[in-house]
Amino acid sequence: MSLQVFFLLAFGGAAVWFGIVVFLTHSMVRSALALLFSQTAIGAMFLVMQAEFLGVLQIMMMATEMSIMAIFMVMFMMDPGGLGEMDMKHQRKTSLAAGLVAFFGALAVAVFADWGPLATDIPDAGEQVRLLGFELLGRSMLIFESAGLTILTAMIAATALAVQARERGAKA
Amino acid sequence: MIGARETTEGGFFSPLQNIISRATAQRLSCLVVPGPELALASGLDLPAAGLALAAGPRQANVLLLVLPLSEKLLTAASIAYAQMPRPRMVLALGEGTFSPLPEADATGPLTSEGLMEATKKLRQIMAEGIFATKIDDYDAPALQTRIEYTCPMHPEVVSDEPGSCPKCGMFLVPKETSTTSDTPSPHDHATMAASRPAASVSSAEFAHTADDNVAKYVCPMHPEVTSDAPGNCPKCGMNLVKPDESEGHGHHTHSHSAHADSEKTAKYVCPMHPEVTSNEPGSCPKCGMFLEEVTKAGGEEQHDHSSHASGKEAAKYTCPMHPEVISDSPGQCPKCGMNLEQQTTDDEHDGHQSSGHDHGGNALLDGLIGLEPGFMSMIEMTDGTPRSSNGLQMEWITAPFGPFFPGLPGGLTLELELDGDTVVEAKTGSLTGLQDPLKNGPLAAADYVAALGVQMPLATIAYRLLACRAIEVAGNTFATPEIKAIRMATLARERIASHLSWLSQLGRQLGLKAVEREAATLHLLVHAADPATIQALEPRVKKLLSKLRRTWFLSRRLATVGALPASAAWDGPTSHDNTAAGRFTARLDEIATSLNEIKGASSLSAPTLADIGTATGEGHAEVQTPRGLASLHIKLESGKVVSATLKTPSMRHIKLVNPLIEQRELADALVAVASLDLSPWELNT
Amino acid sequence: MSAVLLILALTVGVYAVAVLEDWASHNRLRLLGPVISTLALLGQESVLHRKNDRLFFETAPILLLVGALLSLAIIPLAPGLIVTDLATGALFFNAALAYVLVALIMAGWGPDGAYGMIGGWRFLGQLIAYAMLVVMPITTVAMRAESLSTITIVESQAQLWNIVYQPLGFVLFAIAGMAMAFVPPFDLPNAEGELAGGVEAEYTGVRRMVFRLGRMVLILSVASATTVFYLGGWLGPWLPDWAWSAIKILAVTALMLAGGRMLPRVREGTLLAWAWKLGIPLALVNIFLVGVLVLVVPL
Repeated sequence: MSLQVFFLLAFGGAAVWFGIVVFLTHSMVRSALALLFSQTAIGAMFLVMQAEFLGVLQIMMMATEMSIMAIFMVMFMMDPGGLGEMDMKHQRKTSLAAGLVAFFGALAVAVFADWGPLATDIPDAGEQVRLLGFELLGRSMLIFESAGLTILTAMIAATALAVQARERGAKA
Repeated sequence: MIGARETTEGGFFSPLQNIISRATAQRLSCLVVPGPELALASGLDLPAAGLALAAGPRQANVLLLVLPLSEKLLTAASIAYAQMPRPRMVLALGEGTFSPLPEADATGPLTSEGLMEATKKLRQIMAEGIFATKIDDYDAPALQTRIEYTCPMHPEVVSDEPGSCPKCGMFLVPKETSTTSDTPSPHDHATMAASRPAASVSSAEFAHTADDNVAKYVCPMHPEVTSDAPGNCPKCGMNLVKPDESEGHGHHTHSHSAHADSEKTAKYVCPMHPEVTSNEPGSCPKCGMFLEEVTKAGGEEQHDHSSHASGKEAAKYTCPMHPEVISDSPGQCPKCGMNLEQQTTDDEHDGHQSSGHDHGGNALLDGLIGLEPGFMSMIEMTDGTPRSSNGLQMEWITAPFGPFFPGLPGGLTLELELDGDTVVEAKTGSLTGLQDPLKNGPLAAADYVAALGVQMPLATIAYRLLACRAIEVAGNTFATPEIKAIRMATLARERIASHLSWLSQLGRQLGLKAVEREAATLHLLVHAADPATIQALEPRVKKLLSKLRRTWFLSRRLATVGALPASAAWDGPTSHDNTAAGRFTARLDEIATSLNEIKGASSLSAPTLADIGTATGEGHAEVQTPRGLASLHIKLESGKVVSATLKTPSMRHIKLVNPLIEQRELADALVAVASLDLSPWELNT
Repeated sequence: MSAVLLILALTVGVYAVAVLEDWASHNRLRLLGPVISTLALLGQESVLHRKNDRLFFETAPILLLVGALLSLAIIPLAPGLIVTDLATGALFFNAALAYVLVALIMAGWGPDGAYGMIGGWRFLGQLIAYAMLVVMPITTVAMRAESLSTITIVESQAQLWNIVYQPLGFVLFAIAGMAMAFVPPFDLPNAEGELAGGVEAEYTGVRRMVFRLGRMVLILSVASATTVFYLGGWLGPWLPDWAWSAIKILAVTALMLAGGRMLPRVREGTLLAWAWKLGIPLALVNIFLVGVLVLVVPL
């Protein structure tokens, strides 16, 4: 077993474990940060798989995103020091079923998909960044630009809605 | 040394411990009780003695007591001392007792030399060793906590013993409180989720309104909005509904009764009013919301949800908090002890569930929030809790800012209710404060003057002058013009000193370290100086003033804060601009004009009473103290003060705190409070 | 050999930052100050607050230190004197420092105190203000170097330092960097006058020492990044490479620490308003200008 496979398994295990912790803990902030560290472990897996840019990006984005998620949860449902003893599991049966379906679906894709020949000469990290840049500004430009524009529209719409609600409150 | 750290005898690390002890002696960081401004007013030069100011008790290793202190302040100090990490020491300066606190490691007179000597002694003790093989635990009455039991739904139910709530039968939950509950306990930094019980209470009240059918029309979203006539809710604009229409089965307004029969055929239903069903898309006649299509998946989900227990059909009793608890016979919930409620029919509950926006979250709501189970909707959860101005509904916390908070006057308590970073409400108070000098009977006029001066350590001259003037009016004796001139010049000196001390405090609050240092140094040089010295210091003071005027963003930062309404009872330093920036520049201007007032004076001294003999009469006087106008009405009987009515500026100004800081960002709120320059010594406790 | 040199450089650098920080706040240059402070903190009891979230409370200072140390890994002090020359170095710097936010949130949440909690969440708001202003100027730096590697970025400045080539980007990055390292006037999460220490309020003894150490490394890291991205890293005449790096990094640190003391602490709302209403448009203008420059005047 090469060192690469060992680390891949280790980080994969960590990702799964933190994913389980999300539901085991009784504190919302712990739950959110467990999800963060699960995602960070996935970022580390990318790094092990020599996808440097993807890995670093994943590690960077998740820190902010999960923190924002945590603050939104805390804002509405204060849970001082995780002493609220909240249960993170809801709708057990439905979610179990959904989880199992998703798991076997992913497994089926992993097993039955034709992954093509094993890549032997992986471009070095610098070359990867370059290629990714060409991809983003070439073939995939339309997809990414429209995705970005959609998100921007959603952000502006959400802000507009929030402003409206506030004005309505002010009038009342 | 009483506050030593525990160690074992002759351990392996003892050489290292010696080095550590000596290093600790070089790093004294003190928490001043009541506050640094009193140390300044007493002429203590903390930086010269090598004492740094600690931000809070956790960062301090010396508790510096400026005696005498009121009982409440000592109680608060004992809590702060308990919070200080070991090694910790007590340094007491001045005369007075400090009973709940342990014996002082060093004492001295309340002078700069006294401080120097005492600090030197402290350093010696520390350098000898901050470790001891046997240490004593510190205990004080204020640290005694007792466990109270309270109902999660009814916070007014408090009991000394565990049991169940007489109102709803839930198990009482333990809660820690201080035995001396009247003093705010800084060790409970956060009384988190304080607003929750209130929310539960109000929702319980809402249920009542609906049950009693007092109101004919209520808002489906805001149960507190009730009206006799149909119309729109002033809060959200929704059509008001008749509670008895939606009230089917003893629950409050949210429990909409569903006509299960019609639902089977209905394709579109109002998300808020499940009884409104239609075969065509459209809007709800009750609230105007778009009707939603009832999909098969939704029905299944609803079924899935309600099938927590398979024996649901037979079940008749369920817990209002834990819907998964279902029983055939009445009794108590095994989870929370509440009395189980009878379920009318299954159909109705199904209908109610279908109106939920989210079917999850029973467990989340359990025991935490006294709202109807089955909902995890933000609207439902935050219903009835007060709205904040930004429209974002958040949990509120209550946090104490004081009595020893950096950047605020020591001894002033400020308890802020915070909605995120926004202040909702403030409770202010003073842990020191006015004591009637006449409480032990009439005082000789000269003694009264002295007593009032001691009462007001932050403005001794002004209050001595006030007492002198009032008594002189009563005794019909008047000071000579020369004495009057000296008095005014001395008052001007105190004004400079007081404003410098305020500037130092502002510098500390805003993180302007250089301003904090320089203003404090100048205060120490000015506060007891003669006219010639002040003359010599004038360029330095002017330099600080012009530096402050030129500091980038400072006026800008203050300009948006603390705007007083035109009708406000403010008589402190003021300019055409009634914001914090206006008061800031007014104080700077007052320093400059006061410097001019002193120029002509030959000497400066604290006002002393002219000889009034054994006069009898009444007198009234007013003095413009550094903080505003103070007035005193006095009654003399044969040379003795028999009664006195004192009105201080802080008494009026403290009422301005709430209007100034409501709905402001925490940072702005603190600046606004500081801009008022309140003196806790001028307040009633 | 270079590992030893790097550890030595780190130690000296952190010590120098600690001395400078002491100088900026107390106006006295005490060369032995950090040693004495460290010893004093070692002698202090490390209090564990009641009702804490112990896992967060203990992890936070370590996470702060680790995040800051990792961000230093891509800083070259001289050609070859670098921990790892990642092809995504400039991005990695952000990734590592994103965990400063996580550490502060944990530190604020852990002890169950209002001051700390507000401080931690405040820093999240602060991140929303500064994050874009860190990333967008770095974009233009990478545009000129045509690489994210920090070594290539320094080499791209051989003709002209970026501070001259793209001054607007430098100003934005320097201010955003100060906010990232939460030095005054951006010390919202640990403000003394507003939150009595905020996230640091409940830390004492050894835990506080680790926290302070992490903070020093963070300041060093931001100063180093400013040097690498805008001041030509090790480039300079006469002196050896490492000396130029050291001089520039310490000068940036001193300016950062001293400059902030002249200003009152910013309000959170003001910071966000300025960052989004002024900072981000300027950063976009900067990207456009540098884009044109790179095409027209390739230096």
